[in-house]
Amino acid sequence: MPKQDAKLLQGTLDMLILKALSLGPLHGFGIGQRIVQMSGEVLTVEEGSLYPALYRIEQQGSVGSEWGVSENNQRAKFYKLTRAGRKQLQVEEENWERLASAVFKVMQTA
Amino acid sequence: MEKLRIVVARLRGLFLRRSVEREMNEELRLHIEMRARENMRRGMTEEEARRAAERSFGNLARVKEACRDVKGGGVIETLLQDLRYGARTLFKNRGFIFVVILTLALATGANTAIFSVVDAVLLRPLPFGDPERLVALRETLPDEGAIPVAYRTYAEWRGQWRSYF
Repeated sequence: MPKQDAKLLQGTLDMLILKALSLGPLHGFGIGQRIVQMSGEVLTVEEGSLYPALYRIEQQGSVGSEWGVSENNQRAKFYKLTRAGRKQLQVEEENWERLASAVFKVMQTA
Repeated sequence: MEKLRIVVARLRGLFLRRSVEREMNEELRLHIEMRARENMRRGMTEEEARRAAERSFGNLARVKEACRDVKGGGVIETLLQDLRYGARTLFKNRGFIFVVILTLALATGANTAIFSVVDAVLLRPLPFGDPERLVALRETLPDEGAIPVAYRTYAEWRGQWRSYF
């Protein structure tokens, strides 16, 4: 069921975005960079796909945004985790851990 | 509070579509620019850097479409689209509209007429005091059977009664 796969990936991306923002406000480009960096360059994010996810999360109220100026003195829209976003991240982290350890257990059985 | 923010964002998507669209285009353009500058810093030529930036961004048109889906007015926007579509289809088909409106008008009229009667006869109380004490008088004649009572007869009877019904 390919659809289910996509859903799982999408959910994961949302969580990774929240996690990246938990360290401080970032613009979209920075979020992508930070995810790749935090994964030890293992994960690659198709940069465009960040934005629909980001906008969705924003509409859910997990992040807020405002225009500002980047480190290179360039206009950019910065995203910041809201309090609801922090709670959401916690929930998603717990779910993820449960899922990951369950999958791990399955794969370990001989 | 969060709910309110979502509602505001949705309304913005619905009514300020152009400014939302402009903001999104700006944001995505700046992203690609940032990536291109990063690429140039790593030694690519300007042209290479721009093309690589576009490549790593993915399909821009599709991304925008997905963003619009999220940013739009949501359910309300879909509803408005459906209404617009419905109206357009109807106007292409005037004969059909005419028949539909006529049918609805006749049906509504007939219903109203029937209901007016039911309302007056069955639902509304009679416009007299103590309606349960009303009676109908008839007299029975040997030759003609039961007939309505003429007023004179009634007045006469009334003179003979000691009390009303």
